Order: sequence, then C-alpha cells, then structure tokens
Amino acid sequence: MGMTITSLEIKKFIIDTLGLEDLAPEDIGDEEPLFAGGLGLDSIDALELGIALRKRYQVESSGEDPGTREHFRNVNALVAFVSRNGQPAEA
Amino acid sequence: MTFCPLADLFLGTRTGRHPVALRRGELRTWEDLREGAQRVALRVLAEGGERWVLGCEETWEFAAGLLGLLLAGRTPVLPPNFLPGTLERLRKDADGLLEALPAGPRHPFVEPVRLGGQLEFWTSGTTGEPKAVIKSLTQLDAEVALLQQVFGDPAGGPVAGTVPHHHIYGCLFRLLWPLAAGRVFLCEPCGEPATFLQAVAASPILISSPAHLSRLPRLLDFAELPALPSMVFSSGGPLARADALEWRRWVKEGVKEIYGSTESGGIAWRAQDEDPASGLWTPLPDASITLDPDGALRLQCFRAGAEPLRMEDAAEWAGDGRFRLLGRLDRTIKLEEKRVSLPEVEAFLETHPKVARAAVVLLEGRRPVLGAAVVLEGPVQDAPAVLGALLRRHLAQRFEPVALPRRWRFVASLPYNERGKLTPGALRSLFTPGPDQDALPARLLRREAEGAVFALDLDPGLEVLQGHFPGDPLLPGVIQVDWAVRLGREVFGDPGTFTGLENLKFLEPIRPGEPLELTLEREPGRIRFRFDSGARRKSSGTIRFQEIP
Repeated sequence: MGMTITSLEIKKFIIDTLGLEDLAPEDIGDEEPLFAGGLGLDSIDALELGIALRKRYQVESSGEDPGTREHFRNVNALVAFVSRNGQPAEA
Repeated sequence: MTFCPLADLFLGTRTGRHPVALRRGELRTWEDLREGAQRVALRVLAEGGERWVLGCEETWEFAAGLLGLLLAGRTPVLPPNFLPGTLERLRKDADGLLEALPAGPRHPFVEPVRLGGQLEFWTSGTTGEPKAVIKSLTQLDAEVALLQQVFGDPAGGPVAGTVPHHHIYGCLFRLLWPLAAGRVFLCEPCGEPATFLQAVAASPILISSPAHLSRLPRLLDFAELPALPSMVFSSGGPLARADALEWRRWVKEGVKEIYGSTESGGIAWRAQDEDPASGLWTPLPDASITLDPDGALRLQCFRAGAEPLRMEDAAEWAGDGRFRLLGRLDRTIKLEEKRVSLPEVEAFLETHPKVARAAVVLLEGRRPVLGAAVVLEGPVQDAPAVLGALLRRHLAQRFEPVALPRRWRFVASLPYNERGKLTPGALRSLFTPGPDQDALPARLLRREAEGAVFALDLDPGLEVLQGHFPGDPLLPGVIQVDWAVRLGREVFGDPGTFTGLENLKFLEPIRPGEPLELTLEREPGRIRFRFDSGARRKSSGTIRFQEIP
C-alpha cells in the first residue's frame, strides 16, 4: 500500500468532494485546520470526506484507529495519511 | 424490565445496582447517577436561582445535571448548542450555569422525592430569534410512556445514538426513555465510523438521523460488521426512500422514523419498505390532527400544550388515517436535521459592520447548503473568498457549522422583483449560472451611486475567446456588449427593456492575459460602458433601455 499524492491534489479533492465551489486550492493553507475555525468544516463533511477517500483511494478511514480525527486535521495530515494507506484509483 | 415513570425515579423503587449507562466502556449504575444528581442538587440549592443553563456537553454529566436540577426543583435550560456565545447569551437571562458535575464527597441517598417541574428546550424560532420551548415533566413522561406503548420493549443491547442529547429527540430517545425503561444508554455518541463500530458490537438500539443513516452504509462494509443494530430510529427530517431500503437489508424491521418538532414532540411515525404506501405517516395514538386551509398540519395534543399547534409543514390525507408530508411552508429550513431560521442568519449577518443587507437561500445539491447574497457597506476592498471567510467567522459565534453559508455572492443590490419581493428562485439564480449565463470572470472593484468598475480576468481557455480567429483568441464585440449589459443589470438592477446600442467603438482587440477593466455609468434610459487596459481604451458604447414606468 502507499502512493504519491501532492497537497494540491488533496486540496482539489476536498473542494470537489464538498462542493466548495467558491474556493480555489490556493485558498486552503497546508497547515490550516480543516474543521473548527480554519476552513470551518463540520462532522458531516468529515463523513463525506471519509466516503470519498474510500471510493477514490481505497482508504479505510474507519477502523478502530483512534487517529481518524487526526488524519483530517489539515491538508498535510491528509496527504501523509493517503500517501501511507491509499492506492491510486484504477481508471 | 421494570418501567418507571421519570417522576418516580427517586421514589426508591429502582435498586442502586441497576445498570443505567456505559461510559468509556465502564458500566455505571443507578446509584452512581443518583449520587451525581444529588451532588448537583445540593450545589444548586446552595446557590439558589430558578433557571439553570445545563452546559454539560458530556452525556453522563448532562444526565446527572438534568436529574439534579429537577431534584432541586429547578428548571434545566437545555442550550441549542454548546458554543461559548450561545451559553453566554443564555446565562445572561438565567440564574446559573452548570458546566460540569461538582466534585465532593459521596452522600448517602437522603429521602424519596417525587420529581416535577419543567424543562426548557431552545430551538430556532420561525421569525428570527431563537425561542424557548417549555415541556413539563408530566408531558415528557407522557411521551416516554407512549414510546414504550407504540414501540414496545425491544429486545437488544444498550441504546446508542448519533444525535446530540440536548435536543428533544436525543434527550427523549437517548436518555429519558432508556432511564424510564431501565435500559442502559451509551454515553459516547456514535456518529463516526470508529465509534459506530464500537457501539454496534453491542447490537444496540440505534437513535439516529438521516444525516448519519444516509452515510454510514457508504463508509463501512455492513456485511463485515461484528453485529447489527437491533432496532433503528430516525428523526429530524425525512429519510430518503433509498436510504431506508438500504437499512432494511440489515435491520429486519427497517428504520422507524418519527415526525415531530421540539414544540410538538412526536406526532407520527413510519417505517418505509418496498411498498410506496409505507411512505405515509401514522399519527401517534394521542395526536389529533387537522389540516389548515393552506394545507398546514395542525396538531392538538396534550404533549404539545393546551392550544392547537400549527406546524409549518404542508400535508395531505391519504384516506386511511395516514398522511403524506409535502414540505415546509415557511423560511425555517432543516440542514442535516438542524433547524435553521433563515431570517435569524440574515439578521445576524446584518449586525456585521461590513454588511448593509443580506439574504440567505437554501441551495440544493449533493449536499444542501446555504448561499448568502450580501450587499456590502461601503467600497469593496477584499476578495470574495476573504470576505466570505470573515463573515463565516462572524456567524460562527452564534451558529453551528452546518448553518454557516458555504457559498457567497457579493452584489450591488438584492434581486427584488418588480413587486418588491425577494424570491428564493431569484436568490438561487445568483448561485446557479444558467446555460447562457456562466459566471463572468468579473470582480467588482468600485461602486458609486451611478457607476461601477469591474476587473476582468480573461483566462486563455475561456470558451467565448475561441473560434473567432483560430489561434488568436480575443473577446468578440458582441460578448463585450453582452457582459456590459449583464453586469449592468447586476449592479443597477433591471434597467428595463433593451432597445438598442449607440456610439459603439471597438478601438483595439481585447486579448486574454492583459489587465482589463470595465467601467459602467448609468444615466436615465442608458448605461455607458468602456473597456480599458491600463491607460489604453479598448472599446466603448452606450446601451439604451426602455425604462419600466
């Protein structure tokens, strides 16, 4: 398991998944918190991101891994998580 | 299992060893809860005051706080959320705020007390201000007894919930009903995949909502779950038929949906299956329902108060005593089951010094979100993304994340129609570019009484630039005029019927990549426009209109 993914790809993925049409990738900072404050996403967005990660990169963000929330902390955390656990989409 | 009305919990009929809750994997007994409640009661009695805000975000502490306040004869005030701004505002008008269980030595159980009094729930009002909804313990006891009567005493594990405990649905289903029925409740909410996996292992009765029920099956492989919920409830909004059918694959009886509101309590229920008639709602036995002339459902029920209660939901009878729900009639909407009053969001937006007027509209889509159209006070200095983030932060003081507009439009005026009405359709069109009305690559720079200046950013890939002269993309004259007309309408409102063009001059071609500004000036019956790149005039002209009398 494992793949290469850039922070730009993750930002586009977040914008596409959540339909944040008013935002451009450069509006999201690598270290900016995605939830509470920062980008201001909520728990439903976390579920949506989880669903999309599972579909697109075969990443199981569920597990009984207490670090799940940690993966969604910011773009850099998500890049590290997907790079470690993801598989490129077969297409 | 021994059913005990909430009012009688402290009469000594329930043994101290009776398990009541699972908290962080540990079983808690009635003795533990009674002890916590007594400690709260003693603290509150020492401090006096009638209404206490129950600011405990953790379910166990919330339950002990709730019972403790009732034990002390006080009114628990249940906040709509736990944002600091909300608690502070509620605290101002209340007599105290309970944020955690007071520490102290254990007290022996003193004496039997019959509980009474009332609870105060807070919810978004329909007119703009949040409002209190008072429920007496007698009304809540009636509701709990009704749930036990209609849904029986289901076999299964503890009661687990994805919904919060401080709204009436979660409070009744996650706490009060289990407490009365002598059933263990799980303190940790289970709306996330990991917590859901833990909760579901105990084959729980699941208290949930469409927001979670629609997503959990797409996040987890249900065929691999260690166990399945024994019974599933949903409330807060209608569950989509497809989601209901998905759950029926896993839970034999399907999802039991409850229709109601904070004011009304439960009104009706359904469990959808393949039969289309299963989408109809069956009134609960004590709910008497009529329809107003405009179709609004009207409820007469002891649990909803002495007066009949008009719901702002349109309904129609199916002929067999069941009814069909047809949608909201007012401007209070539901977003992921959170009630959001659009007038309240608008009013609070307008308290920001940069905002002159604001209008908010529900935008349907993959996930329904709010869009806000804002007329700014004074000149525009910041980019839209910056302004949007700024105003979201402003709103976040008062509203939960789900109620914060996701999409923003900064406009010169709100799209009132000729009768002075601001329709949802007109607002929505600001966010949904039609086929011939793609969003223009324009940004409002300055706005004066009779003039406006836009910056235009022509991306070489822009479709309108192609095809004029192959290999030499430029902005055709007709498109220049079209943009001037459309942006003119956006800033000045509808100027009337287009009647013609005058003094058109196309001096130099406009190519992508060069800085470009469009200046518009309004005069009676006409709008003058000019496109400039730096000091170079590119084109100019006058658009004539027949003014609306």
